[in-house]
Amino acid sequence: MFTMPKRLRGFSQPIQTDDPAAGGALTMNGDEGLVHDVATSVLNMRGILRLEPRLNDVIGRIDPARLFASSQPKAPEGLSVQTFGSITDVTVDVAISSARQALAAAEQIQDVLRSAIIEHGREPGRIVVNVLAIEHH
Amino acid sequence: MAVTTDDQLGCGRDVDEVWEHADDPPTEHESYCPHCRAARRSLTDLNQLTQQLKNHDIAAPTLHMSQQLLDKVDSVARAEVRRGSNIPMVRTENQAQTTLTVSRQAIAAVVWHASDQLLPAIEARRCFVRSIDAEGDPGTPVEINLDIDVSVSHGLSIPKEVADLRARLMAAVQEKIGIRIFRVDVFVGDVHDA
Repeated sequence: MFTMPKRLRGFSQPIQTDDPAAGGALTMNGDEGLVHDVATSVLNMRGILRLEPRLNDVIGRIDPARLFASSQPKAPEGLSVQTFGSITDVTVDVAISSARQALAAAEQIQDVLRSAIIEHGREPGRIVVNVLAIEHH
Repeated sequence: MAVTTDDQLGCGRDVDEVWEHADDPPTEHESYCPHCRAARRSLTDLNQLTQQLKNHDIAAPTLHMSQQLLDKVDSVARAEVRRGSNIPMVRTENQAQTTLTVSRQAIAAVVWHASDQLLPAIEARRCFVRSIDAEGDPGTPVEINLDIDVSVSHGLSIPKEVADLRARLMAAVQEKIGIRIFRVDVFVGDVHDA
């Protein structure tokens, strides 16, 4: 009998996933539309220059073995949309123009995202806005 | 009868203890104990299989990242280091409730731009953003402390120039970011010819 050392235990447990790439069932829940609307809403706002990628975004996209228990719609870099039941959390990382005050822009982004989530029939959870860059022109 | 469990071998030793020095020669006990010998054999087999898989992955071309992707990872990693940590913009009851933040680099960009308006009288050389306690009356703007190292043009009044700089920085951060500077510590480290 092979006794597994404690530090290695837990890695052999199967991970439940809806990711079709892992052979799980595909769940159509409209999250792709929500992600698209969220991204579009943010980028269409005055003074928002772009979404800013984070290292986690880039690394997460190159690791095919990274599976999630909840369905995770593909989001552009700088945007994270996570759905837990009917609640949707969003984290957005942006670069803005100095023509906009950072706090006012971030609060407006929060309001816009809240509305977008409600329009998709979901309940807004935690909406985090990080202003990572301010550019003067 | 000695029975091996999830935590212990049949001889009473912890399997993690055997794992810790599986690469070393066996101890006197391990040399004769059938449970420890079996555990060492299994761990050795596991180690060899792991190494084979690792070597396979290293050689497999489909698992190599393209240079373009490597460059992107490098670029994003450097950007994250430059940005520094994020500072809350609005006070919350506790840090876990923070949802609006600004990076230290973004604040520094505003500081640099404001101080550049005073060239050539003052040259900003280095700035460091410090955050004061961001917990308190929820919804009120956070206050920060700022350290800035400058060089002042020869012949000018340092107190006057520094006071001007302070006022500009406080106004710029309030206007462009929406947080308050509570205190600006200015270190005049050099004098230059304008």
